[in-house]
Amino acid sequence: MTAREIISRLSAIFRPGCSDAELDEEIRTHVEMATEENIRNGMNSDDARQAALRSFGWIEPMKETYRDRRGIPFVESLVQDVRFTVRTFGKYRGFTIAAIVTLALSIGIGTAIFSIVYALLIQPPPYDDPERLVMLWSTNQAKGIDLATAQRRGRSMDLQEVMDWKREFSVFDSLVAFEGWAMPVVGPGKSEELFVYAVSDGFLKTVGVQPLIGRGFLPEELKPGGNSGVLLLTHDYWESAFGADPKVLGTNLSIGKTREKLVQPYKIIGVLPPGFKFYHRKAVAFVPLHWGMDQRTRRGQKVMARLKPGVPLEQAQERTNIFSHQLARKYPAANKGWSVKLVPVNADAVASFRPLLRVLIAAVAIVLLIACSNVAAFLLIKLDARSHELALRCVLGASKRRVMRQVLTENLVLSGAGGLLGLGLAWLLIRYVHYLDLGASSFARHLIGLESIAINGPVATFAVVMTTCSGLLFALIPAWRALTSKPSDSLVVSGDRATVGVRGRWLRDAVVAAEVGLAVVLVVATGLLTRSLAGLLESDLGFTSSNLVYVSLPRVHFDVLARLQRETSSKEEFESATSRWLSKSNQEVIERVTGIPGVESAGIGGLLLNSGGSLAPVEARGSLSNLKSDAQRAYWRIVSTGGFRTLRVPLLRGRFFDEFDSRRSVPVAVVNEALADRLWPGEDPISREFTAWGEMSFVVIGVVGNMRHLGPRGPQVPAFFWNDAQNPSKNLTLVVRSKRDPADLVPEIRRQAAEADPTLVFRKAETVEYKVLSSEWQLHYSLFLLGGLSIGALVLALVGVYGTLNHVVSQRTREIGLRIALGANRGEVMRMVVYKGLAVVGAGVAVGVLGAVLVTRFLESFLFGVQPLDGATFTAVSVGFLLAAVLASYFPARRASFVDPMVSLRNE
Amino acid sequence: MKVPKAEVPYGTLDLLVLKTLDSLAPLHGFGIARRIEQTSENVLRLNQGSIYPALLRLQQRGWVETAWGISGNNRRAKFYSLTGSGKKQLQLEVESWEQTSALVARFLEAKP
Repeated sequence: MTAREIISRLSAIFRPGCSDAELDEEIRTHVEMATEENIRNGMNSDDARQAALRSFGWIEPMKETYRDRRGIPFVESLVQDVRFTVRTFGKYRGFTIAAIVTLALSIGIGTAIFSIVYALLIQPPPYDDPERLVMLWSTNQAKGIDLATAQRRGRSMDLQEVMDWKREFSVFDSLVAFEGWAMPVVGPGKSEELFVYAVSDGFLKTVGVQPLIGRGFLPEELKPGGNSGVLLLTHDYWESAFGADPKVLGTNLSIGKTREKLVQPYKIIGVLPPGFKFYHRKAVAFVPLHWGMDQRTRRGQKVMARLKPGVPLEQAQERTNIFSHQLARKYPAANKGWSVKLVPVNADAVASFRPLLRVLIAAVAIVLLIACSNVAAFLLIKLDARSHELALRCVLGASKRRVMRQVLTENLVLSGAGGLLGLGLAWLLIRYVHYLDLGASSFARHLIGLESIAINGPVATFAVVMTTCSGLLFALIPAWRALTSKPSDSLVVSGDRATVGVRGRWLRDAVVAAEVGLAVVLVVATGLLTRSLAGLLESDLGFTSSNLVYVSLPRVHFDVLARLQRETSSKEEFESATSRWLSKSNQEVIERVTGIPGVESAGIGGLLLNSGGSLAPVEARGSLSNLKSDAQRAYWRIVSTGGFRTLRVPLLRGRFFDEFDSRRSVPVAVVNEALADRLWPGEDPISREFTAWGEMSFVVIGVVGNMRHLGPRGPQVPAFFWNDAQNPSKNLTLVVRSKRDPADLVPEIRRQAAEADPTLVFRKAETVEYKVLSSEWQLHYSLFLLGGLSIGALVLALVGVYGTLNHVVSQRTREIGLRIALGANRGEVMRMVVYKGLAVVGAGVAVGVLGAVLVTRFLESFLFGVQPLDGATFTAVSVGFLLAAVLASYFPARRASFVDPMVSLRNE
Repeated sequence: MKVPKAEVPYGTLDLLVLKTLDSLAPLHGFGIARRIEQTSENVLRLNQGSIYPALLRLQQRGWVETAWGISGNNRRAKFYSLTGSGKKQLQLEVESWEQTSALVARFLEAKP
């Protein structure tokens, strides 16, 4: 066939009607002309026409040849199938709509969730040869630090050890140690808190990139004592903050270094290429990490290495084990029991999400399965109704293959329509996710990938594969039935009275029960998580959390410090001037904020929620326990007098800070019960002294109840509180309790704070509820997604039950009519149908509960205050499903009870 | 007595149609069929209908083009005519036919 022929044939397929009419007209003209000629030759008109037709030859076979010649038979019969399908669907409109909506829902939700999973986890990291990059995680069995713990804590080695690896280990091409923090960055025009990485030398070599403009770090910039005030910008930040101006090279950007507690200017020496991302987070800048003289035991750094080309991971791991062993022998105090696990960076990125991911993928699979079995059940029902037609086609000579193809085409058309709608739905859902702005929560704020959630190539491919698979999957059962049933079976029974055999009915009920079971599993899981979240929000944190907002205001006061330094002559003078300035400024901020109408009270302080907290070694003075105990570690926090009052922390003994505690009086502290018990077990802690960091000593003036500083799941840790009046805090966390919704007050609080002290940078305002939610982001997000999925599953399962019962009722109309004619009352008929529904759903619930028992333990790490086999949840879900079954059977049952015996019997 | 009519030799219908259109284009289907019969002096037994699939084939190969027009006795009819490449094709087919018939003739003349 030439190309021209193919085009001509293809174009004919799509307008066969028009071309058929043309041929008919040509034939008609031909025959008329021949007839006229014959008449001219002296025949009478009848004979003339006969003769004309005779000499034309057989018309129909000619037309057939003509048509074959014109089109492409395979494609044509496919088009025929599709047209027939569309016509059939027109006839079964209700079924078609239900099936397409079902598929669209499941494919849409599935695709949307996949797009999130893809953006966050699957998208390959933008490095050269990413498969050669590994993370080094130090683990120690004796100390209970396994790989997962190490990854969660995000700390692996101290710098001394990193140097050992760098110098003496030959399996890596290069190696980089790094840490990262959210820090105040004084950009042009505005100060924000942004993520900054500090990296050791070997950074660019390990990730395999070169700066787009400018240069990388020089060796002397990475040495201790070298000129470390330099930084590399990421392309994104260069664009957004500096409008991609190349002149920015050599200028300064001020960044607050949390360690040194100062904002420091850094010289911009280079810009990284677009799209460059490092580790899990979206950073704006990279600064040198110093090879300081840390103790070997600190283990504060993350380490990433690039394997030599061609070294398989297993071999590298073996060599790593040997080297760890050597290190342990060399430095028994620091390295005994420690070994290093290599984890490919790709897998490492997924590690912290893995539990969430597993749950989500399982849930998506369940909803898809339910949707498919729902459509399969519908198809079985439709097949029952059509079994007569299909059987007739078999008897009339259609091959089984041809009938199969017809059924398959129908399903693919169905799933195709569902897929298209689903893609539309996914697009809407993705827009909704963007609208929700998951990135605004404190955890996900710096997360890579959120901005790239979209329907892109891979996501679209996923949707197409899912569509096709579902098309084939739900076609399996009906196609198998169509193939194995004998045409005679359905022809024996007359016409539309044809009913399914026992086997068909059993299969259909089993499918519906199975989907109810799957839905039960999902709803139970959601129920457990909902109870957990409710428990978390209501859990006692040790203070009253209603109408309470935390406002973080870090200070960027480099200019003030410089001024104070100029004005003072000695270090002591400078420090005391700084302290005075801070104290005055803090005081003014609190006064102004307290004065805002609607504010009940305000102060400095707050929980350490989400921040990980800082620990200080503490020792009791003048106590016997001092002799035997190691140094204890306690969390600490600077709090103002108003802070305690605002939080409404219960005071158990002694007093809070008051106005007589000042910078000139004895340093005092309030401790919590846990610390008091630890330092002075069984004794009165008031007026006792303890030292922190081995140098500062405090007198205890009060004991407060324990708070859950690490979040509702955390332990009640020992903690002590400093007085802001004695040690004014640089970065403020205001706690403000209001009379109504505190969110309304935030703009006014910001304004007042900025007026009182312009060096305060607004970081964020969070209610306690929000803090709890974002510390529980995995639970929160999985609940958000699972909630949607299980509502979908529940609706789908109920639609399945409803559809099946409706069908059963229409099939049994005659039988029901007969029963009513024989004296059954309508109540009995209704009960019969409802029992039928209950039986199917009951079986499903039983299976589902069994499945949930097996499955819910995988959720254990998410749960709070509720057991995986929580009786209440299981019972509630089971009862709920049975009630829903009654509801779903009610309408078919009502229909059955209104069957008119005369009509249904006469119908024969 | 009726002379038994001959079938159209296999593969020659295209040639006959092309030749007819070469001398008498544009022409409608009936005209083509009658012209072939007349030229053969009614020796060929042609199913007139069979020229339509042949015409479609020629059309698909780009040798023939069509247009709707009005026939001599005021009837709407589809008129066929040769395209440029159709003329070339006719030449090719005539040559190949002449070769074939010359070859066959030589076989028939050959002495045993």
